[in-house]
Amino acid sequence: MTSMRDDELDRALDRSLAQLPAPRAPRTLLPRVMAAVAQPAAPWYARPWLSWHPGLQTVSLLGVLAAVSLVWMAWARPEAVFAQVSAFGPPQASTWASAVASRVSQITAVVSLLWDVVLGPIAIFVFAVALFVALACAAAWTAVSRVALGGADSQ
Amino acid sequence: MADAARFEAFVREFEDMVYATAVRLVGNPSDAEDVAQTVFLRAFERFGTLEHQPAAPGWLKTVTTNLCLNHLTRYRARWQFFSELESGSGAVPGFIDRLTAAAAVVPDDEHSEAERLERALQGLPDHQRVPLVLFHFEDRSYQEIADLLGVSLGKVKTDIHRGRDALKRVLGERTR
Repeated sequence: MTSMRDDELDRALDRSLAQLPAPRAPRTLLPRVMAAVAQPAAPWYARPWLSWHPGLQTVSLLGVLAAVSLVWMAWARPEAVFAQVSAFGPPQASTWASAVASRVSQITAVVSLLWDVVLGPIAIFVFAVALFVALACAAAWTAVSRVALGGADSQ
Repeated sequence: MADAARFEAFVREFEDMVYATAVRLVGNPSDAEDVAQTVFLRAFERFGTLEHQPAAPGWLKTVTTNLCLNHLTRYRARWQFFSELESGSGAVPGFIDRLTAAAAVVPDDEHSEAERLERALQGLPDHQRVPLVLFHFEDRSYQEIADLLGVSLGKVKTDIHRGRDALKRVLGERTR
């Protein structure tokens, strides 16, 4: 008896869903869309990086990589890098480059000294604490996920 | 200017279809309007190629579905959490009663029957409404839905079954 009623309801539901009229769009939708379309689009560089063209993303990544490499090399061997740079420029650039290289050498020497004396000895402890905190957070999140959410977040 | 007029005609032609898909998937009129606006902005970006294509409605539906699922993704953990809760202990306590009560708010005449069902459908929890809408209104197979949502086939069947049970309860209340 129950099953028969259930079958009837199933059929009635199928019928009702099939005949259900589609909801109409609100009157505000069209003006909203047209107003948004009328606004000038932001230039590509003002949009979020993730929405850039893949080619531009690649070029920008390579640019950042080159800049970081240059800074890294300038940090390690400033004289060599500035000698390379000045080789491509006018004669005055050579004087300027050697002055800059000398200044950068002094700065890196001071920073290296600071690192060796002040930061270096505690860096390993800071790194160990950060690693421990990160692992503890990961373990806590896994426990919460398994116990409270039943592993729902990983499905 | 002519482009704008043509695009306006395009929006007029498909706005009901896009909005209907969105509101049934996200279950919330204001979120659905936001999604529909984004869909048409995407359509505008490629209006030149889309305008005369017979596949335009299909493209719009696909984009709408994907944007709705993206919109719901931020609630995904909660969605699956409640789904798991339900599978462990039957229906969420009081949910069916609330659904029936919400559907009963509309006066009970011929015209309101569809509204009651629509309201009940939109009142279903996300994890039941989304697969049910994809199955009944977007003509997707169980397997396609499972692939789209990244869940198992069994879960899709169970969620659709539970969603239908809730809607049948609303229909049953009406016919009693």
